[in-house]
Amino acid sequence: MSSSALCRCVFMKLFEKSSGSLKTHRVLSNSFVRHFRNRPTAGIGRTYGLTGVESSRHLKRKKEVKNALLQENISCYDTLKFKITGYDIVLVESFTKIVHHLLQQLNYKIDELYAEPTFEQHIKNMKTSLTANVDDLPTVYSLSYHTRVIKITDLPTHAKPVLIHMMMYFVPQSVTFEISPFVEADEEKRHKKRVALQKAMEELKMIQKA
Amino acid sequence: MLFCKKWTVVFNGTLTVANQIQCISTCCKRMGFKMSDIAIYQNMDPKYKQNILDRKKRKLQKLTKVAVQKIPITDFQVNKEWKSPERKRTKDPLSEEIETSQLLLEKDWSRYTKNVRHLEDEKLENFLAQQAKALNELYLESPALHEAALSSELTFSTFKCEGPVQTLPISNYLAPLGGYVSCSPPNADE
Repeated sequence: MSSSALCRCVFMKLFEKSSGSLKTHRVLSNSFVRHFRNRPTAGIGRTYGLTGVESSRHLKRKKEVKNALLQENISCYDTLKFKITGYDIVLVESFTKIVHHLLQQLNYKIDELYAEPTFEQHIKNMKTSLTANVDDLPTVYSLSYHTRVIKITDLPTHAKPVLIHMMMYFVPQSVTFEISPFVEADEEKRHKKRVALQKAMEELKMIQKA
Repeated sequence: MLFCKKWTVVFNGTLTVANQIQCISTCCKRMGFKMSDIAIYQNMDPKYKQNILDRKKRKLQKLTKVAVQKIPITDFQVNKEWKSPERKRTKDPLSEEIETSQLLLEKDWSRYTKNVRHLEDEKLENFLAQQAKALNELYLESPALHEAALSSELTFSTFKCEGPVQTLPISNYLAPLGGYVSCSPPNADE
């Protein structure tokens, strides 16, 4: 079986599973073959409602509940950080992308979207060695731990449960996300340690004491 | 003459102090004793001490002027060896049938993802609409509760959620003995 045919088989099975709610889609029920400039369109493009009756269906979808009460007094958080961590970089990146798009869709102020430096975690096994010192044991795997941080300012309080709900719906396997207030220590994590400066300060303190 | 020296011994990461007797004579110059740093500075000339202090302060000022550097992120750094043209694979030409079937499959996939996206957007909109409606009703009931609902969570602890797992945990599983060691990221110190 060729790879493309295999892909198609798998895809159609998935499509059938999920199309329980999509069977009401117009294209499946009453579509006809429509060409564009004497070339086949493969079903892409509108083939129904071209006389203008279709517009009402689209209007229904936009349920903008204009709540004047909400706009009167909105209490917001100062700065929050959405921290997304995991060992699989592909999943972490895709999840950050989803969350970023979500926040942009809802028009919340994204201060910054950055990556914290990745570090390696060595998994050590005590198979035959008798030492208790973890550093001396042989490494079986070395996994790299990735973190992405989205910094948001002035997030309204009523939006937080919405975001948590949607993020929990989208979160992939092996990825953890954390919502917490942004602290100065989080900013300092990104900076290099100034060893020379710390030493100099310690020396000064010691001399001043003596 | 016998002197007693205290040695600090490091064993498996724990500090233990053991008293050992070592024979030392007072005739030799270097006895192996060192005055602590504080003691040196206490017994110094005040002028000499001030000079040292000034030098250290100037050094500190120089170091503080230098801007803080950020740790470089090595996630997307590719090895140069991997970019050589010798490693590039050749692509065999595909027949028209296969190509057309691939393109049609792509179009089917795009249609499917569009529908999925619409469903997700609807879900979000419904959630927001329900929330707004509920808050409206609450305001009609009592404005105090409405305010409390909006301003309740201004101080909160962290919310953490772990993603699902591909396979369920094995019951009565004894993990092998070992440990985890996390290293600091590369180029973390100046």
